[in-house]
Amino acid sequence: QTFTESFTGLGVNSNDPIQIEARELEVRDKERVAIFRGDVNVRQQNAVLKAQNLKVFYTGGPGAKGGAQDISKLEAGGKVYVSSGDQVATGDKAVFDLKAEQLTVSGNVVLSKGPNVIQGEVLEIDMKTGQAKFRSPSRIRMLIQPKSLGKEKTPPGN
Amino acid sequence: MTAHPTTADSPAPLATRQRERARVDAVRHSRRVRRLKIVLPSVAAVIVAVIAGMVVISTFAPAIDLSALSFGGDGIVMANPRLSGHDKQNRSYEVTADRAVQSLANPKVITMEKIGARVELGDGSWATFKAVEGVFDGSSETLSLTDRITIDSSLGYQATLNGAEINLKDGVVTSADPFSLTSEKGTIEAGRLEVKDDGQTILFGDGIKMTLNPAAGNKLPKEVSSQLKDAAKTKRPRAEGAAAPAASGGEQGTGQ
Repeated sequence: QTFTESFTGLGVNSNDPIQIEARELEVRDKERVAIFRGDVNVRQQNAVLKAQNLKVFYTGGPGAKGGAQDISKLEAGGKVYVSSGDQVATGDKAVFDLKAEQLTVSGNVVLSKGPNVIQGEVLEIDMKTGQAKFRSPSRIRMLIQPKSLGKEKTPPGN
Repeated sequence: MTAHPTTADSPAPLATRQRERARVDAVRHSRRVRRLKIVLPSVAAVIVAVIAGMVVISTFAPAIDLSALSFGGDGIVMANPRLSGHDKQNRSYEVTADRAVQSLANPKVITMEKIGARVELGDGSWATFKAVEGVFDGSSETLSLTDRITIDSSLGYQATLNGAEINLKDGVVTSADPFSLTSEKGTIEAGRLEVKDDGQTILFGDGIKMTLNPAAGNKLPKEVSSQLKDAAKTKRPRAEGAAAPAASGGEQGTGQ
């Protein structure tokens, strides 16, 4: 899939500082959830996430082994925009399952890289490999600029 | 049917009745003061790299119990009152101030200058809390702290607020002014802060900015994070629990 390698910016283990901005943050310790609301903007290096709200679920209750509180899942909603380098994915919702290291963008998803654009319903990105693929049987519409194919090794198609 | 001779004792002399009422008032007053408690807001550092990085959320809620601020019977001004005690989980705290002044006009209002508090958080970690000035209002059971408040903790957190309103009855802390928290794991800045349900719910408002460095070890060493959990789940120590039954028990406000 030609888009594969370009999503490497979404690798899970980069240790660079992360900036988050939002209008509001509510931490509900009992439910182990933190909710960012209002033009949420998360940046790390050249990777960016924008959404209207972002829920962060963390584990690590008092009894948790290791005791450390870790983020287990993250849900972004409301005009979600995820970008890394010249790769951009937009949709209604994005769920980052950090345990499975998988990002799922759903709801009229548009995935674009430079001039090439793919639209579909559910996009799954493996955050380890950066592999991005649309979940079958969603209807796919693809617009590929022929001249951009020159550089790609294998013709696109999934 | 025997008519009991009415052994109505002679009406208690007026003086003892008055003394009785004064005693009741005093007890009620000290019980009300004993309910004085401060819940400091817990600060949460929350992040996830959407794109990368595992981040730890930790909340930390030092509970500071001002407990009884006992004043000398007659003294209106108390020079460096010192107050120590321990909460239900036997964690000790100590509160000092340069001066505490009970206002003449309304004895329910006590102004304190340069408040300092140190609270044990269990397994050896502690938090210190400094405020320039605070006014405790006994009737509304609120403590409003003005100017800078700095919080420091052995868990590596520093926080500064400018002013905070603490409603002691329902344990709500609000600070309408910018607030910032720094720790080696990251910083949070917010325009407004509100802590409810004994630190279980924390609201940062009016725009927040947060930076996090996952590189600073996203897995807290085990014992530190358990303290955080400990601190986070610290219920506001019941003043009753903290205060020994007799006024002169656990707490002693010693004033020169």
